[in-house]
Amino acid sequence: MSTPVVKIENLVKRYKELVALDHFNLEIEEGEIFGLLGPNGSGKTTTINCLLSLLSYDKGNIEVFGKKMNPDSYDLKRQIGVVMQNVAVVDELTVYENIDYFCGLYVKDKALRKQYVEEAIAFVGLDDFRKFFPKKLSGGLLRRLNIACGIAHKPKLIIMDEPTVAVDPQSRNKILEGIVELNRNGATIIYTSHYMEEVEQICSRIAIMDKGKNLAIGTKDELKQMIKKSESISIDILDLPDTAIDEIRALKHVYEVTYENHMLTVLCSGGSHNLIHVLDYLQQHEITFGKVYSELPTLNDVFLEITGKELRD
Amino acid sequence: MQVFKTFLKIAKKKFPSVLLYYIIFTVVVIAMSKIGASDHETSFTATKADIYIIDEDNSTASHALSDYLSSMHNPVTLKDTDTMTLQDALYYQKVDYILTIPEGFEEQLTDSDARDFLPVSMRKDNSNGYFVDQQVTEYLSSVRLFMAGGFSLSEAVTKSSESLSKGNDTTVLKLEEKETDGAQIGLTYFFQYLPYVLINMLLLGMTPILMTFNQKDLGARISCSSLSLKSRNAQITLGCIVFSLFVWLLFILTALFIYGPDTLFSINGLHSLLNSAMVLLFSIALTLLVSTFALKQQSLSMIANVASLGLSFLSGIFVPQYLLGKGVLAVAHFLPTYWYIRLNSMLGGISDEILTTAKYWRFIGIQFGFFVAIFCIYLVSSKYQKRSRNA
Amino acid sequence: MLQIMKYHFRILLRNREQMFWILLFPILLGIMFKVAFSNISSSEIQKPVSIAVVEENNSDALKNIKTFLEKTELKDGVALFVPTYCTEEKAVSLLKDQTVDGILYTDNSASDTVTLSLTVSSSSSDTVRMNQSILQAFVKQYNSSVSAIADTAKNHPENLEALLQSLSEQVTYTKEVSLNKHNTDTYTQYFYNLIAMACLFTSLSGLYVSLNNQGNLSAIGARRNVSPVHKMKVIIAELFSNVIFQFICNLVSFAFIVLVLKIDLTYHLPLAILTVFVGCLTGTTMGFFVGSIGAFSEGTKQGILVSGSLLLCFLSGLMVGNMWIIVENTCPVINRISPAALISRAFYTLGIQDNLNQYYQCILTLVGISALFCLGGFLLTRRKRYASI
Repeated sequence: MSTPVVKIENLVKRYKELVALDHFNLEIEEGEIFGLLGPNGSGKTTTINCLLSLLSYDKGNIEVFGKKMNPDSYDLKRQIGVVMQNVAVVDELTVYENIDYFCGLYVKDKALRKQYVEEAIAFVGLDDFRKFFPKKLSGGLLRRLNIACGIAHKPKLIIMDEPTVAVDPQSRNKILEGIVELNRNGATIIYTSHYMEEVEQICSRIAIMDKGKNLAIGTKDELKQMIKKSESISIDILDLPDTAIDEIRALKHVYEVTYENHMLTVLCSGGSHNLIHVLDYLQQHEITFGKVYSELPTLNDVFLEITGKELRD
Repeated sequence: MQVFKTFLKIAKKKFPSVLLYYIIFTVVVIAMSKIGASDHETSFTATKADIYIIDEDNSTASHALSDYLSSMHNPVTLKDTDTMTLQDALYYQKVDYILTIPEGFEEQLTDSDARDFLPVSMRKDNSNGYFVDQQVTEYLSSVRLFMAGGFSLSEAVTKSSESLSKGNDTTVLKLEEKETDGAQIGLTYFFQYLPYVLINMLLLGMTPILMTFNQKDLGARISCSSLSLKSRNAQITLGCIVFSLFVWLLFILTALFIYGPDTLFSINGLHSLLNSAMVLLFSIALTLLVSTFALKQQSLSMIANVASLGLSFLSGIFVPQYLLGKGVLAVAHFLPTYWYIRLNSMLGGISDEILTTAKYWRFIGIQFGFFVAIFCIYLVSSKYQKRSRNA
Repeated sequence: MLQIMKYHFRILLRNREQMFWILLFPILLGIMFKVAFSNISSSEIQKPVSIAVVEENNSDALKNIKTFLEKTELKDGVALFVPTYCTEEKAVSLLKDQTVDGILYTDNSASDTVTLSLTVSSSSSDTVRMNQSILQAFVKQYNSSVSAIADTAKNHPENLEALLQSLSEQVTYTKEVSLNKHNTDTYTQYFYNLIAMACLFTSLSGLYVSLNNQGNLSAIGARRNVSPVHKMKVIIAELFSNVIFQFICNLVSFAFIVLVLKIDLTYHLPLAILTVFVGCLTGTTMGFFVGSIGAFSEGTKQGILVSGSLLLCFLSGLMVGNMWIIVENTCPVINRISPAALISRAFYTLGIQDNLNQYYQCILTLVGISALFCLGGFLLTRRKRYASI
């Protein structure tokens, strides 16, 4: 087994009273798009900042590419690209100059840098805006510029901290496609977000964290199996006798049945052919039904179940 | 009152950075009043200049001359007599007049044809040096006069010294308004330098708050709320008034603490208070005006400096008005602080003008006029700014 | 390194508003100073003294005084005294209005010689007091001459004629020599301090170097911190380009003051320019150092820098001209280490003194202070992991 790209062991970080990270563990393999999920304030950004040696931490060990990460690990930093949560660009420089400026912190060679900058501009689709100053860019374009500044130097490890906050669907799609492409070109990617669909769409492995702890980790499917619910069946029924509800509830794997507004909802855990069992039952009792929907659990369900449903912040 | 409350909250945050001005000012004023208070006396005594005499002749005549001058003026002691020390002393106004009595002075004095044999250096920006020079000439003329009259040198110098320093030939007429004591003078200086600090504190402390409210996003959010523009402006104005009154009261309390209620609440003191309130109004209007321009913090520091220092120098806050040229004073008529300072000098009795009630109210009125004018410019400018922002 | 500097210059140049004020503020203040001080040094400070002469008494004595008053020159044929001859009552009212500075009385009641006496008002005005003093001296001299004549008539009557002849002679005894090599007038010191202030204000740009390089103070700082370039390298590059940029700006203002306002700051011109440069260096590093300290907000740090710079300039004489010597007498150590005092002093020594030892001493101290600021700033920013962001 190859050395993991990122290895975080027993990381503890306290802000005075508040424990932001509580013995946090994480390993990320090469070639992954790793999603770090968690509600606001769960410690995602803190993890990232510790990983980058921006923040001091109380306990724990952080390795990147198999080496210990320190503030002066310049050779490691050279291989990392960061897209910060806050847009960090220089107002006085144009789009092109901004990317060139930040790329210049990593790449010394002029010709190579020029090529990289051009590629980055093409990558985020800012070709028409290269002479623009950041103030003139819309929110989505600014985000894209922010990303270009972070990845222009073709790093092997890219860390993206909520890069799609406040971005329109078009820009977001462009960004997500780009991330996948970066990954295809060989970069390992750490991606934090609280948009489930995004993570579900692109990430190969996902960790769900809350209150500074790593609550669950695995592929999408592995995560989905962790929760009780595996299927939710909804059926339009004009008239359903009360006795039927109880009998359906007694079916195998069924753990919750509701009937409201002529809609029967059956929640099942595990097992297969749940839908067939329910439909069989209805046919046997000659109950007529209309539309039938069956939904498999989403990451959203997983997330809500693991982290609880109460509001954050 | 949401806007007003927010105003105060921001003010609370911004205040520490301008508090430094207050602290520095207070420390300096206290220090200066300790140094300066002894300078002024109520009764008339002839002006004493700071002089330094280098006696290279060491003769009866040279001793007599230096003794005579020393009795009339303040002889200053210097660490060294090298040119550099003398330059420094003269340059930085430690001495007004340096007299070198060269070797052979006595012989030249007795030779009635000799002239221009005493090298002197003096400051040219005040009359002290000139005054001493005149006295040197008078003394030596007197000595030669006595010698021409047939007296010996030693007789002549003694008689000259006697006759020149003799006498109660000067009487002082007391004019009743002119009751000035140390605290009164101190208070006058306190109010003299006040505009500089006041303008700085308001410009640097209040403009950032006002600019927050004029900010594009926040301004838009407030203007699309149910709050009427009138109410918003009224609340912001109220905030400005509270902030500036607070600053003003801080200074008044400081003055009360340093100079005592007897001085501050005397007729003159109260007049000075009203006068300083006019400067306060002017500063508020100026701040409002500046805040209509979207400025960076750094630019603001420089504008505040140009405004406060410029006003101070042109209207005689740092350099007394009588030293300023006619042209400058003509320009200064267009600055409210000029009228403030003129009034303040009269109130403190350090002016060569006499204060009359009519003059007092006229000057106060002029300052108020300036306030109204600048406030109107602010209103126009803020309207224009709003329109250009909305366009 | 060069790339960082190139971009930093570009950033500085693009910041038009800031550049405008950096250039403009010494120029504006320079113009104001020039206007304010344009008349001061022209040595016409002493204006003629107005007096009222009471002419109720003795017409002979009056005639005598008249000639005496006319003979006393302010300079170049301008009479020192402007007399008004009137009744006592009128004289007193003139004095009360401060139209005149004193009242002269002739008095021959005491003996057969006419003596003068003087009445003045009590006043705290410096000009009035000076005029009164001059009047008093005049009266003393007159009376002394009178007693000389009386004395001679009594003891050496044979010399009376010679004495009277000598009395009518105008002799000058003193000759003015300038101690200054270049005869620089005192008011240039305000300009020295103005340049010192412009130099210290460069600290504001230094402040941003430290803010932009600290991960916990700005987003850009965080981004820089995760880049593989050594932090010191970025800081040095930025500080250096800042100093050069500010130096050029201040040089423009300096040129304006010298060429347009015609303030003579050009003795040892290369050294004067060196002073501007070192001043910018000290200012910028001071800002960098203050920016690196602790967790104050940006606004507070700016406040500290601006008011601190002004305090230093105040102590070296920006507002009150003779502050330097007051400080020198009460707490000389301030003058040895305050950048403002050192900068203005360096200009002063260039303008006034032949001996440049003190100049080099000032410059070396400034360089030393800059080095300390730099070192301190580096030590403070070196801590690269932050407790919180």
